[in-house]
Amino acid sequence: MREQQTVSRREFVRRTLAGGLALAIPHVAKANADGQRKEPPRVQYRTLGRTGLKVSVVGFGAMRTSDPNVIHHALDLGVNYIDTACCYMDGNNEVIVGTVLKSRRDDTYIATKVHIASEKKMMASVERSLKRLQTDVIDVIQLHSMKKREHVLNETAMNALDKMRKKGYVRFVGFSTHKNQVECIDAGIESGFYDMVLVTYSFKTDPEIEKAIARAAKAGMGVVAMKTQAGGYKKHDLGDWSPHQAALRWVLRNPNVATTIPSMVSFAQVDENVAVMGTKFGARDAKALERYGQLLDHEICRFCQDCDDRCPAGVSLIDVNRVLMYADGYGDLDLALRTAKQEGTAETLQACAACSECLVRCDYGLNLSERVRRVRELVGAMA
Amino acid sequence: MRRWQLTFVFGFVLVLVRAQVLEASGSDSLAAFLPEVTGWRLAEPPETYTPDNLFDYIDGNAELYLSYGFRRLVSAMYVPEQGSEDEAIVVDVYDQGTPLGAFGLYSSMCRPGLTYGEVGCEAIVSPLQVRFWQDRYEVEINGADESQAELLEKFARSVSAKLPRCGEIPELKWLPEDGQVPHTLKYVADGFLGQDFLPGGFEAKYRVHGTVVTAFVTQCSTEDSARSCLHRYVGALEKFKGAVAKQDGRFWGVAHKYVGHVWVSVEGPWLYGARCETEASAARVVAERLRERLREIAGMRR
Repeated sequence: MREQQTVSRREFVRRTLAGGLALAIPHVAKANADGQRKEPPRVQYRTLGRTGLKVSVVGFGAMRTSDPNVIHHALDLGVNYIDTACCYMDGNNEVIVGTVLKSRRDDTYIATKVHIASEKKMMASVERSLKRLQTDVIDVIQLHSMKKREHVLNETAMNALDKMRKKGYVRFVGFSTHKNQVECIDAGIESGFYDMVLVTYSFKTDPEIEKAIARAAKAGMGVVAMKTQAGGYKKHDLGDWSPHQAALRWVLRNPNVATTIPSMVSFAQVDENVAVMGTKFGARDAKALERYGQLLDHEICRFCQDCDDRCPAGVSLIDVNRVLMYADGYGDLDLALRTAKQEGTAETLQACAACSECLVRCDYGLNLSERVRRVRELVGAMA
Repeated sequence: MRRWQLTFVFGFVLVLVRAQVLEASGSDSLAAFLPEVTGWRLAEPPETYTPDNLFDYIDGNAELYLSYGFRRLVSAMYVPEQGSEDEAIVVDVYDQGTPLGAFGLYSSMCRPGLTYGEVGCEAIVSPLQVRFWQDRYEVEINGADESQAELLEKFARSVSAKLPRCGEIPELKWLPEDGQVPHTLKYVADGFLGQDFLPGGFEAKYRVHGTVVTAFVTQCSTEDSARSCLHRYVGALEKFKGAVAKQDGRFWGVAHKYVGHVWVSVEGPWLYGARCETEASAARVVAERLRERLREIAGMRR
């Protein structure tokens, strides 16, 4: 069963309005209508669960950051939580973060990750992280990418984390999860062992995950949100408006989320994200996200593969969607045509001519007939 | 039977035949690069990932691969003909779209002190992993335990033999090789020097009388555009409280406790410079050397 169900338009509006008090308060909505504000951001802090750490609600996802000055800039603006991992850039990301920490350790909480392995390997991994980060203690160590209950409750891993804590290598322990998040979060709560959890959470998230987040917060686990922008294409015809701030504000409406870790590689991205602090989710944000959500829902294939093998003529609708993703989403017609050629899409679409319209229905409401027609046009042009 | 039914059946048969041919020949372009090593077999059919589901495979790490132009991944698990899955070796072949994308991704993982090998254009070799780049592909071979180190290289060489040969990337010559600290040359595709407005660029470390200096260069569309980028970049560094920026000859210099000492200038369409944590003079030496190099290249282009 798919874990992250799509959120219906009605549900989306209900959820945004429920917390979007700003809709009823004209001056708040007006303040948000300007998009980026001019005055310096008002830094907002929340407590990261039972760790007691006072973290800025906008943290720093460093996974792709190559220039340490970008991190310095964020810290100057009040960001105080940095997330990295031992495997990002094969360890180089921790080295980059370390060049910042060596002079600003007191300004910063550092979170990194370790993979489940033998106790010896996990200890060695965290020792390497300490060295690369140029610090004598890591504030938060997270088991990387838990996908099921058994991972979260893995005794070897929990013993290793406990040992790290006792040796003074780390202060607090947690885990990250991308898949089966509800199951993993509930296991974390049940264990009573973890201080925090890093979860995928955005305006597109399954409401069940939101409920699990609430349970985690109630149990004293700090909640850090990642993938707050819901993915999707970079290029959208949304005028001069960016969905990033609205998406971040939507996440921060939830008081159970202590901080977020948007990935940032430039000064401009830092400015854009940090400006969200101290502002409230408003009417313009709700409208913008609804529009962005529609784009994600109706223009973008999620590659859930549920349509696979459903076409009676054997047409691979996954390939059709992939060709369109390259052509329309990335604007790379060459790649689209090459993919169509490699996958034999042109040939299989010959069989497709037998049906007057596509007999397969997309669970997410993509108009498959229209998409098949578009690809037929494309591959026709190729021929 | 009606005509449309005949067409349907004919089409269906065509599809089936083609699918079988594909399966037999392994004509999926990436799967064709998978290794063949005596005594080892595929544990299960290879899996393919695209930009939309790469997160499912490598989680948050996917963002880095995407920023370097990731297009597709084929991932295959091999097990010994006579042995258990505990000894599995996983082969991942990433199509990064261009040789520069593959080099950029690979270079983001490089640093001095690792062990490098001669597989593909270059490889990072450790007891548990061989990672190399070749043409537009970045390949990662992961073992189950350290006793498999030699075997990993064997797998890597088998993949390498099937990939297109290494070509030359002219941009990698922009930064002078003389004095360059080995394995520090990097291509940064996104957020070069921390700025959205700059195109992707290159950086490498140099030693000047024992001091480490980082040189950097990117190419803008025109000289005017490079000048505009220069002023925006200096402006961005001046955002740091207490940063001092001044013009000295053809260079702009910025000094700050976080930034260190930076010299930056423009040569034709190139924006280039050098930074050093401790010594402004060392950074200037490298910046001047880089200018000479770029002028040489410009001369060769004419």
